Amino acid sequence: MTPGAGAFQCFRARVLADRALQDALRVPTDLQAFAAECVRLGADLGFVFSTDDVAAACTEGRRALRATRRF
Amino acid sequence: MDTLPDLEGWVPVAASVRDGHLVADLCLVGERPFTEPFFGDSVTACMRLPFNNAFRREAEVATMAAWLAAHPPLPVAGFIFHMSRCGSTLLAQVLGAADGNRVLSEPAPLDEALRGGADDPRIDSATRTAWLRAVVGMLAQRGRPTERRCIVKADSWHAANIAEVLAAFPDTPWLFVVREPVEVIVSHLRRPGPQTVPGLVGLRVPGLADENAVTLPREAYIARVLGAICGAAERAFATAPARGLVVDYAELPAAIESRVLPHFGIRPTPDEHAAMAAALVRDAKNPRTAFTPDADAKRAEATAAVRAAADAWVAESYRRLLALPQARGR
Repeated sequence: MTPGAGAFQCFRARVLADRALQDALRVPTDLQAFAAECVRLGADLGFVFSTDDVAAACTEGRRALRATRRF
Repeated sequence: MDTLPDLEGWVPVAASVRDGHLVADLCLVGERPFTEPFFGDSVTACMRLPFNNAFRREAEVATMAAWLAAHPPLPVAGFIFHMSRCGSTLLAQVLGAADGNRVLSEPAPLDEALRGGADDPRIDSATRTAWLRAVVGMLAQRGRPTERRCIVKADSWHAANIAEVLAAFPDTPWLFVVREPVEVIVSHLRRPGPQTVPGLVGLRVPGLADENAVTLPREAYIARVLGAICGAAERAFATAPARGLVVDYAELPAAIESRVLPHFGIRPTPDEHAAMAAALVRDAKNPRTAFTPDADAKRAEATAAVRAAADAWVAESYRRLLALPQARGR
């Protein structure tokens, strides 16, 4: 795991424990704006990662859901 | 147990069994209603929001059960079982048009809770009951503030699992929707459901080995699948006759008002009545288009082989279901 990906995972755990962060990150409807908002909020909390790290996490999330679909 | 996470609005969109444990994949759906014809369509729509790809979370049954104990979900007003292509989606869409009803149409996590780990001896009936209560409970969390009850429509092959559902929800009414088998077979010939593709959903057809299923003519295999589904429903009515109802496609939509709503204990408001009436004129599986009756066309399209397969494998079961006391009032 790259440092950026690791930092995003730490940020992710923080978001899952914080309803205000969840509400803020549910606002952007396109990936570019969402990734930028993640990077900005992450930096505020001391987590340094890139928009590419966010995009990779989204791709992994989609893949994980597809993997559970049987038909 | 660690501090319980805040799971308000987090809904299972998938589930899997790992080493004998059910794990749900939760998505923050919040107040978004499940108005699409099928649960899978709603999940697809939810995944258009980037947050829902990057920030889903997993939860085991114990965590979900603890959350539900502290935050009771909506009551489940009823379960809908069906033989497929029989008006059950119309029924779900009409019920779901009322904003007091949270209708979940064939949710994938229910399939995993009912059938996941079927060959694992560690998964006993008490475990299965706990899985079902946790998954259905999380699905039944209130979304829109108007929602007062939840209704769950199962996949057609879950007719074989009605006993498990009733064990987990002993006070909840249920119904089974049927249709003239020839019309159902023609529908599956036009557009095959996954249960009519041998081996795809793991449905067992009594007396038919999996390796022989692929050699059968299509209409014969479809008829045998439908016969297995209807036969399972018959056994459910025999062993748990209370709280069940048989609804025939031919009595829809009138039976929604006259039989289904009273059976589920639902008394719609005037606004809900109007919304349900508006939903009736739409095509249930494609709500942007108008509903067009097609029973006559399907019967006209049926070949002699379709009629013979229906007679051989499913017609008798269909007639027996319609003769049950639970079908009276039609």
